[in-house]
Amino acid sequence: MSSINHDTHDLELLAAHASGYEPDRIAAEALISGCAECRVLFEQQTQLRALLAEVGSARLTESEQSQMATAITAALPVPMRRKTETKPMSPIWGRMMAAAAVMAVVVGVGATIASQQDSSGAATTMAADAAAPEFAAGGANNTERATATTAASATLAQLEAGGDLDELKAEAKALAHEGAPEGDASVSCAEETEDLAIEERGESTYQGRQVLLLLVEDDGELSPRAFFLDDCTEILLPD
Amino acid sequence: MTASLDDAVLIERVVGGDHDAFTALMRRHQDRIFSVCLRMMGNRAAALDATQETFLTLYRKAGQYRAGAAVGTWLYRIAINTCYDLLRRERRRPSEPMPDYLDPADPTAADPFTSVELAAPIAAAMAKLSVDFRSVVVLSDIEGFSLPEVAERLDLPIGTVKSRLFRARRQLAAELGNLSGGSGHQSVTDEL
Repeated sequence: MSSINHDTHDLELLAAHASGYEPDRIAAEALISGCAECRVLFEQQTQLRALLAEVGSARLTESEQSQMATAITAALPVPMRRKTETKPMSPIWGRMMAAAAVMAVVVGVGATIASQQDSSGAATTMAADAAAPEFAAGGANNTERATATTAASATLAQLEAGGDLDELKAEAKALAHEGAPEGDASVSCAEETEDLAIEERGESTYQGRQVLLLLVEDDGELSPRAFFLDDCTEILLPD
Repeated sequence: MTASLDDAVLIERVVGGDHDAFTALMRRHQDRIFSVCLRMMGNRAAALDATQETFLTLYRKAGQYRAGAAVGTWLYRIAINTCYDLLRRERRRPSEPMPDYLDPADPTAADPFTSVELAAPIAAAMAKLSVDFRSVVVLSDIEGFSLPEVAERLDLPIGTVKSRLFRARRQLAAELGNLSGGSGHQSVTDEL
């Protein structure tokens, strides 16, 4: 093998051989024996490898271990709470709910009849009100947020009472269909989220704290992420 | 008890929300992951952040682990990707490099490798490598993985690993000076 052809030599073989990669050994040895430049380069690769091997692995010190364990423990979610059993409804609540259901049926039937008969506008308005999502979700409040957050806000009350991470995750996933509510925390936790490919944002409450919900593109899939808004620590959602 | 379980079993338990299993996994792998992060990031504080982020990602993505794959391999891949992300973030936020005297290793450490950072010239040369080159050199030459192992951990074809390794070592040699001792070598290197 002539040095004249050095430019055409497969120099990666030299790196592989210096690393002890057996499949390339014979080809590399042929290269080295026939080309002075390759021989020099091989020596360089071998010496570099030996030099770096002397550096060796590093280890965490005890204080670093404990520092890391503390930080990670703080970031981990509290152990999943068991779902609390639903308390039986008190008789008075039961009666009120039944009455509300009857009212809804009456209003709905009335509206249907009214629209079929193409009668007065008042009945039509009533029907439209009854069918409005805010009403259906029980959200009597008229703020922009309540209007924009539809099904997601339906779980807010549960989450305020403690909630669990599955529900938080479901709420974040729901953003894919509902979009972000108006006036969300789009600039909050900017530093912590700057590298995320955020598709949707929203807010919620978890353990009594405000939470930033995100839907993030990750490896071609949308993943839900959540951060406490007061200190921007991430809440690890179950996979 | 948990500490003696196989990695794959521990991962399954992590998916189920078992913090003890997560702690056992972390204890088992933290030194190796920290070592890679340290060589990638260049200082202990950043390496500690990267290690921490790696394990949090492991927790978050435990459900994506495919049975049969080596947990350690997967964890290295997460660690390298985490370092990539952190280094990219650092690049976007230009700042003065931390002077060495502000980043002392723990003087109480008994192991010389924990108390001594990379020798300054090597550290400086490593810092000049691109992240792609650095990751190959760290796994192959410092951590001692074989080429197929490096390829698996970085999810790269082995040809790419060989190519990056060759070029990275050449760049390091140029940064560190003539390693073969002969002036002819340097001139050959310069010509190539």
